[in-house]
Amino acid sequence: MGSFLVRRIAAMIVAFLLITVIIFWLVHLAPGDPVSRLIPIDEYNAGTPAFLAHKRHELGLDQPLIVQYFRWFGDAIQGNLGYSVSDGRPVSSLIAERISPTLELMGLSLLLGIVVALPLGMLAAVRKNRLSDYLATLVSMITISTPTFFVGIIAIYFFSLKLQLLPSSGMSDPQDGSTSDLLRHLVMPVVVLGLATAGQLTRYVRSSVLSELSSEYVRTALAKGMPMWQVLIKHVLRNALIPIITVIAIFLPGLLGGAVVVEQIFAWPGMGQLAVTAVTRQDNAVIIAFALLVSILVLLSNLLADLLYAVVDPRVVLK
Amino acid sequence: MTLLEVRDLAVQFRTMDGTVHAVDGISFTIDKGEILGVVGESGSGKSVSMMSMLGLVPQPPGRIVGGSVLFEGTDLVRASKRRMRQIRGEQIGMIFQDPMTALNPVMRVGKQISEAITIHHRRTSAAAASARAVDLLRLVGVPQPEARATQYPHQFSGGMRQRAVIAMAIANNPTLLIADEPTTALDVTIQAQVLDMLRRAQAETGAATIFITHDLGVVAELARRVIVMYAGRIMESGTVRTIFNRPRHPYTAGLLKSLPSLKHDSQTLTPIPGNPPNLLRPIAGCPFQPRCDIGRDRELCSTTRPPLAEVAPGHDSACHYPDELDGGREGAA
Amino acid sequence: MSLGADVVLSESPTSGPPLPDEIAHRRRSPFALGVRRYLRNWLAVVGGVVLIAFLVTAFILPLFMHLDPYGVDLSHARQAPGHGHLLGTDGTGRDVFARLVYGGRVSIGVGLAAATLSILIGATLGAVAGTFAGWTDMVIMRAADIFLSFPPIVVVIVLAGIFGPSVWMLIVALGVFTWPTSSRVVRGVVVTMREREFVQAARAVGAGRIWLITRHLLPAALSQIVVIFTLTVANCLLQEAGLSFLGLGVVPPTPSWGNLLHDAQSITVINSMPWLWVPPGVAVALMVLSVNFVGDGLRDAVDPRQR
Repeated sequence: MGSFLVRRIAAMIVAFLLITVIIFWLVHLAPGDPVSRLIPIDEYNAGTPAFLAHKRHELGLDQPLIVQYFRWFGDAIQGNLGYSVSDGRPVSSLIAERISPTLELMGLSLLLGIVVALPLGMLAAVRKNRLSDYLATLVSMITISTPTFFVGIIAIYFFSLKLQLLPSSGMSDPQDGSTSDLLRHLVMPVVVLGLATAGQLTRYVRSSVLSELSSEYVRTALAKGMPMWQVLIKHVLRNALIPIITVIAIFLPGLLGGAVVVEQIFAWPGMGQLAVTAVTRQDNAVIIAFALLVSILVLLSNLLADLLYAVVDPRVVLK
Repeated sequence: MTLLEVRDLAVQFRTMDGTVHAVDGISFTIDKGEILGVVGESGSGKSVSMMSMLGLVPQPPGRIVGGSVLFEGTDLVRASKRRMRQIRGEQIGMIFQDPMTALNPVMRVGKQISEAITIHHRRTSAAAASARAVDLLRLVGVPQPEARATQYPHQFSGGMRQRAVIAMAIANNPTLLIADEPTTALDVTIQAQVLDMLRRAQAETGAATIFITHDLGVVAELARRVIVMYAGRIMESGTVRTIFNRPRHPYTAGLLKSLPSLKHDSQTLTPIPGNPPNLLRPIAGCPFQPRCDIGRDRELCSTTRPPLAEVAPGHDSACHYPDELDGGREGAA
Repeated sequence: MSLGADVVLSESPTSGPPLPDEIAHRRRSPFALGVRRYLRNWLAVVGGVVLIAFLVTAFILPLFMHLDPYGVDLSHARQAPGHGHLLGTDGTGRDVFARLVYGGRVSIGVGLAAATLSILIGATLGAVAGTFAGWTDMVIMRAADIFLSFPPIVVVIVLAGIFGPSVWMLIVALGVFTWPTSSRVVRGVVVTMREREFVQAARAVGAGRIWLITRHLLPAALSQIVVIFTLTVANCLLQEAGLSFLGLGVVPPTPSWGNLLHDAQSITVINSMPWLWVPPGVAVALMVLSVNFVGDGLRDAVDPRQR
């Protein structure tokens, strides 16, 4: 277990370094003056050519590319990610205040997705080729196939505009900072992202439970005189969860992808909204920080998938 | 005293290609404490018939289409789900073919055994049930049962796993044990040990045992009476001694000729020519007729189903011409 | 919205209902059996019909009907459906139906192109990983894991942020970040095939590895590739729509289903001009749904055990 962890983490670091090289190289190819994203924009706009040349030298931008990379990398891991061109604030503090809304949205949606998908997927598997299976399959297929932004717009149309039940945007009302207000703002984004997650997960749960149902240990348990529902919960579920947990871990970054879109529709002040706004404003420093964060999330969730796999399956010995 | 009486049991499978007549009207009985061997090639319906008695054939596609299974006054075919659950594991224990897959890979072995007890005895404490599980493991010859009970199936060898499955089956002192090819998936050296174990478990519990196998040698060793199945039907039934000495059905005779033995040269082994019939088509006459030296050219054999009829006391054969056989292994020698 | 890409859960080859082994199959060609299985799945049949209807509308209808997706007519802006415009007009008076049809061309085109690229990369890498095993295999599959978990939408955000959005970047990004699904499937097929007798026999007579890949292994994987291709097209269609909706994909004035919805981000449009956002949204959903159903139907037809 120990040596497995060490090797996996080493491989992860190598992958991360590789990704940073790619990001750095892409940014180097980008149009525009790199100085503009490394100092506050007011200073840049007010700066004389001499001042900018001085800054360029000070920032090491006249050095060889490899030196620039190490300098940039060193700054980045210390949290110095440069400055946003749009409002001149340091990127690290921008990111810091955006992370938690996104995590809230992702976490709650994932929870909702799991809560919906587990019973639905199990039902579909147990009632294979019966009406409830077809309905579950059809519904999950529809939620997978309908773009989240379209679902979001429909939700806004009905619940905000026609029924006037829920706020269409933001995280809270400036006049009302109560918890219930926050919850009202949470409902639509979480349900929209959660249902998309549930649709996807239901299919995995169904197929995983289905393949477990044909296992012989199910018959053994039934032969002991156990009722089917108990067999499902005590025997099948635990086995079926092994691949599902892994899938969930691997798809955490995918959930972030979904969150980007949902944040945009509901003006949810998270990372995704920050990133999309940054693209429209050519705010490269923010985009680079976003890319680094996503890469870390991707690598960590891969590691998490491996570890969870070993935790839930006693047959797996990590070595 | 009769423990189980099966009458005209028929099981079908509805598939995309048509209806498979997997079990086609079989009748037999088993007495208390008796060991009954059921032999036949794979696909002869021997496993399916036993599974269907316990309601363990997946429906759909499987379906019991007729007959009755009387077990201590209850018709298992018509019994409620609830009653069936009480009988399964409590009064009838089941041992499966492949111990590699019969156990839940992510549950400790001891837990899987004690579960068999707590399902039927809700008042039993978890501690008492796991103590009983350890006892059972010891009984079936698993060394260091305390430590083994906390392990997972993958930490057990094949033979040890099958012992655990046996422990599970006898956990509630059943009156009937059904063993479905319990040694087929094991190494030859382990087979003898597990068979021995089964015999001891049977003696310990006094349970009647139905022993399903395709291995006539195993049946000879273990059972007193034997049923020979082919194409979902019973071809012949009787004591092991009479059937081995003087088979009265050409299929049994063929099986015996294909059996390797220390007494015979391997050259004299003669496999039965041809293949088992396609069970998708209804068979009007005797299912063995196309492969049979006696019946191949006889109209009666191809048009009329031979009933399972007594040819000698306690010896039944489903052949129109049971007297034309020249009597089994001794005859061939 | 898809969570990145479609993963095929590995299932043991013995899965499926435990049927008695006495079932003797009537002899039919695998292809005929597959067609029969497909036609039994009515959702897949309906999906196929809808899909064909979409393709005909997007690619053949404009040949027979005059449709102008670019004609600006400010005097007739934001008109409700009717008055010579089947689905009304948008903010600059362009015909919504014409933009929907041409947008379909672009969206479907992007989906097909990206999926083709994805399959080319995935099948090649999967075949290589399966054939050469060892180190090559490990590195490729590890990379596949990482690529699979990068959501394409995030990748495109980064690329569009740095270089500005474009269709070509979209296609390449989608193709490069959806290949792992097909590579896993192809690798799986190759690994099982590798052990088969005729491949062993071919090896024994000295057949080269490249020869084996192109002549034996890839053809065997073909049916599975078709299935994955279909599902990848569905995924790419969704990704394109999402990205264009965010303004990071197909750039206006070129229409695409996603960027038609881009305009629907204002509350006024959502509230009072549903003809601007309902048709493209329904089009994407229906199209993706039918492609997914076709893919599912194909998968069951190719390998009934997976259902």
